[in-house]
Amino acid sequence: MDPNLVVSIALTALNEILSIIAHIRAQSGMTTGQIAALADQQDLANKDAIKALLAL
Amino acid sequence: MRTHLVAGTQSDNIKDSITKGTNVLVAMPEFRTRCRNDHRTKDAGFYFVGGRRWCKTCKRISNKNAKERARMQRKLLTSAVTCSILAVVLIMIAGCKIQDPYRAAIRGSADVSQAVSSGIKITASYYSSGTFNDAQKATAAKYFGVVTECNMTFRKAVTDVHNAGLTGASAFLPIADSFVTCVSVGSPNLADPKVANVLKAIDTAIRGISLAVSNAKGVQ
Repeated sequence: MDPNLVVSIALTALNEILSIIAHIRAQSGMTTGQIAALADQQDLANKDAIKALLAL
Repeated sequence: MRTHLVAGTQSDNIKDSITKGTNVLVAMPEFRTRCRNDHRTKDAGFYFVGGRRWCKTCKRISNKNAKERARMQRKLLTSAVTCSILAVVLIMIAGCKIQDPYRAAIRGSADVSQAVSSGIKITASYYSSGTFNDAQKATAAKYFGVVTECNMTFRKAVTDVHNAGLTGASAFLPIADSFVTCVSVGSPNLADPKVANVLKAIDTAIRGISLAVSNAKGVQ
């Protein structure tokens, strides 16, 4: 396996772990309604990302 | 004085070297019957790449070892990525103890959305690196689509229950169970362990909602 690809996947994973941690921290200061609105936005973004993934 | 080449074609020069006894295959008979790793030419044979002589058996073993190494690297990396994401998702679920059931359910839903987002990015990365093929990517994408739809339905149902004035965990638990069922019914067959590994974190986040709602310490 190309070392560059290994580094690329590892960085993607690390970035995602950091995103999840940031997501947890951000939630603690939000009202439940704000969290729900954020989740709505995330789901809409996910739908677009799924389309982009299928187009790869 | 002995010259190496004569004016002529390559074939002329090979014939010339055989005549003069300087041809390596003639001068060193073992050279044509054995490679450096003692594989017999009769069994394996040689071929030439870039002017270098390769023993077919050596090359076959070398290719097999390289493939095995690449496979192990991919497996290790996939496992490491899955374990890391899974660990963070478990931390999310564990952190949902001091809240009411409604908030626990909404936070769980937001966690699933975040886990799907991460799953999509990891899948894209795996596909770009060749770790996932087209079919594996399509299976993962279908799963992400199903989870997203079920999650939106779940969140709407949770909000409706909350707006109806219900506050106890018992009001939200059946909705959390419906979410698990919705995903189970709609999701594609995840028999491929490679794909299942990437999706494990999302599955854990979905199943963790019931746990978070049950553990909620607020309004019961």
